[in-house]
Amino acid sequence: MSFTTPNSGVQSVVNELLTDLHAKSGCEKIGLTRESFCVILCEVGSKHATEAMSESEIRTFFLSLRVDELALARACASGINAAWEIFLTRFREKLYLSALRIAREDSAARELADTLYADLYGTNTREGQRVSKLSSYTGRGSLEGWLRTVLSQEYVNRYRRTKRLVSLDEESEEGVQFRAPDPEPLPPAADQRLAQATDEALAALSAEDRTVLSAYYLDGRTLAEIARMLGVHESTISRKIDKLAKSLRKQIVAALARRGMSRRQAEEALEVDVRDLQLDIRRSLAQESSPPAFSEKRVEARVREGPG
Amino acid sequence: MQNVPKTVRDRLQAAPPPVNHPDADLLTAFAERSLPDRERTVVLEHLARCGDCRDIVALALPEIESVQTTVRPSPGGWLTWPALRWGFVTAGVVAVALLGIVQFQRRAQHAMTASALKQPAPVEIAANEPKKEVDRFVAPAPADKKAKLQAPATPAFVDSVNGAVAADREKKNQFHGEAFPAPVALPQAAPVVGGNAGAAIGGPLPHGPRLLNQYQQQNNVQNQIPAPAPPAFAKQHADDIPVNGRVPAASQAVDVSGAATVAATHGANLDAQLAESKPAVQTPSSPYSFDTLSRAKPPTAQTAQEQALLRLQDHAAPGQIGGFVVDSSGAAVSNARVTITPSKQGKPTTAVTDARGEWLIAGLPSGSYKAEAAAPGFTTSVVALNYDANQPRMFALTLSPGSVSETVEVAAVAPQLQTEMAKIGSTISSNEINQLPVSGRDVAQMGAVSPALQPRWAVNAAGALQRSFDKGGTWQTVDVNAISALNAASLEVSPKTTQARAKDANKALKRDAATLIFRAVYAAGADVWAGGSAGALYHSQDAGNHWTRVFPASGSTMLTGDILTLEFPDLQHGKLSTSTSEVWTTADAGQTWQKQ
Repeated sequence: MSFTTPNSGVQSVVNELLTDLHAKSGCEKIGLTRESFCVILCEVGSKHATEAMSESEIRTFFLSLRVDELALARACASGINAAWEIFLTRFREKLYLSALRIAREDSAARELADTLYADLYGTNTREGQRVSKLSSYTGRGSLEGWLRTVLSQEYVNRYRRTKRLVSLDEESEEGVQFRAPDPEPLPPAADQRLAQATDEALAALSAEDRTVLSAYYLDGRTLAEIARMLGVHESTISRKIDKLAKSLRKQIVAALARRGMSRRQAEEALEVDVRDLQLDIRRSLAQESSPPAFSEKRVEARVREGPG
Repeated sequence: MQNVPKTVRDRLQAAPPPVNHPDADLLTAFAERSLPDRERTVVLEHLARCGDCRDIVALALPEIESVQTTVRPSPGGWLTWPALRWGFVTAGVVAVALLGIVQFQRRAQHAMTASALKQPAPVEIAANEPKKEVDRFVAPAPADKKAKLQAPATPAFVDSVNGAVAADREKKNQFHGEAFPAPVALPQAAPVVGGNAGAAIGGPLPHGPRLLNQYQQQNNVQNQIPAPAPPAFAKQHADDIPVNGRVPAASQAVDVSGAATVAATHGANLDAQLAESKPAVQTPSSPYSFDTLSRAKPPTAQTAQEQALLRLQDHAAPGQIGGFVVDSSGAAVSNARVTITPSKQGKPTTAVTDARGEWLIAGLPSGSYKAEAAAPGFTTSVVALNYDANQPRMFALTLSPGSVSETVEVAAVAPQLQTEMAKIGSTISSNEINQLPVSGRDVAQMGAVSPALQPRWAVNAAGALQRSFDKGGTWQTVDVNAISALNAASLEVSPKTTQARAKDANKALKRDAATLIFRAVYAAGADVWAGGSAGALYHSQDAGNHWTRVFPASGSTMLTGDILTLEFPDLQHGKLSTSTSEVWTTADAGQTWQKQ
């Protein structure tokens, strides 16, 4: 990986904080020199820092880093054995357990973990240099959390690819040939106004609200899962969704009215149709047990969108 | 839950696909809430439109912490200082032993016994505790402080105690028809063992009320949650002492004495305690039997086996397969032969466990193998294992004691093994005493050759030979010459020795006594070989209490180089290599040697 020239702000902050950060990192114990650690810090800082950041912001950034785990990860990436021993002792079992939780099945979990291990060891080479995934860890989150995230990314990439290819056998199993014909779509003009009004209402929401809505209605996540993702209490999410559902309806009707629809027309346009009912039942059924990582309805949605 | 109009869902899904996905670092920091607001909003904006990244964040969430961690004993503090801990432990033991005697006498007069018993119990469970590969050695350990005292309670041990407990239960359990005493939370600020002993023994001690409240709290919580809480450890040990009346070996002494405080309380007259202490302690109608409790996961304590596992993991590199062999009590079995055979065709590879019961084989390709562990006095155990050369994995092989008829040893009678109770020790038959392979027929010396009490051996940086009887905790330097000088008459030399050579040998002995530096030691059970500078080779058959100097000689050449490595796969066959690149072998336990 090429090193960008650290801007002067980062450099000066690093020089200022180096002693403290170096002491916190314990990198001598794992065989990392002070100089290499300084280089690492500069690299991490310049990746993150923008022109607009003030020195105090840069300082806060460095102080929030987990320098001990950063040092360990970079020492491992450089191939230092002492660091590897510590890494293995601390993380190997956890890695396998996390993979098992993610993949839910033993052989898939082992394969997932093994692949990650190979990446972490640096079995890949680029331009003759050993490349380890650990060199992309910058210490902003915990190393354990980072490992879990990387595992999840690998899993999503891998299985998302295979899920996209729905076999004909699966389709006939799902009874695609018996599916009722789609009900009449709305006339295009009304459709467009509805779409615009909905976009307008959604744009008025915060990013967090939209994330919650997407996670709940599109991904089929449970309230508990969404709450943990965002670090809030489950009841907060429940209240938020209730509030949003009520207000969205009102907002869309108002937006449609602004676009020339009468109130009655607007409410008709928003009425729940047969397809909605189908999805509702499925969701309420799915929520009895924890939903699969990739909800079926998304696959089905893709299947439907395919031919249609 | 309210529904939203379908159009909302459609439009959410139709949002423009995001371009730059946040990297793993950013997503982790987001999930751990360590991002500043500005960056968090950016990530949220991406997540609102990107289902993949939402999935990643959801999948990467950590395990939910178990809710059983209701009571956390106060972390460490001055009480973790080992000396002070030991002090408390000893004081507690003494106090409790005295009281126990008194109570026993009173107990004999009373008809009714109570079932309630206050006990210190740990509840700390780290839900994220990784499951060790060797799950067998669950160690339900007591409170955090006690957890630092190694606590290997093995299934066999537990089973035996369960049996004892059940027997006791019949006798004692008449008080309100309640279940056998259930665990009690350790009061947070209570000192370690001694304090608990004081509380539990009875009398209106200040700990009394506090214990009650926490116990009730604990009770309320635990009743709702089927707890894999491991509070039963102390209890099991408690039952152990009075029922069996045995004293475990040194390595377990800490646990025992730690639990001895409760031991006496248990063995003591329970109704007397009850009368004096607060009797209103309600025992939960056990949603947990001893079985569930005893199989609980260990909290943060590391058993000896876990440490061995970690140690092996530390130095097993990819391409190596290793592990250890233990018997059903958890004691390491040394000198056990481990044979690894590929499931498909292939020739088996053999290893022998060292004094710590560990074995290591390198250079095997990945695949599935059959591992067979055999040792005299045990039934051979066969395990199928899958081995991947990229990840060194450790395997634990457990041997159960076999009948004498299955012994392979011809020379000696296999030591009788207690299969009921797992204790660290051996039973010595009178026959064995008569045939003790130690000079003087000293029974005390027999302890040294007992498998479970064999020391570990090492050579320190200065070249001194050292041994440890407590699995590496403390080391004592062994002076081979102090003893071997006495045995000068029994010098083992090649039968072809001439007078001149014998004189040389004596001179060597005197010279080396001053400058002896050991470089290698090999121990297989009680049989120890130590080699060092200028061909110094010593052999002990009783774990280092007596030594004989051995002078390898082949034809007319004597071994004079520094001995660098020693290997004795069995008692008869041995191999050594020297600094002058010589390799010498013996096939008769060192009486004759051949230079390769």
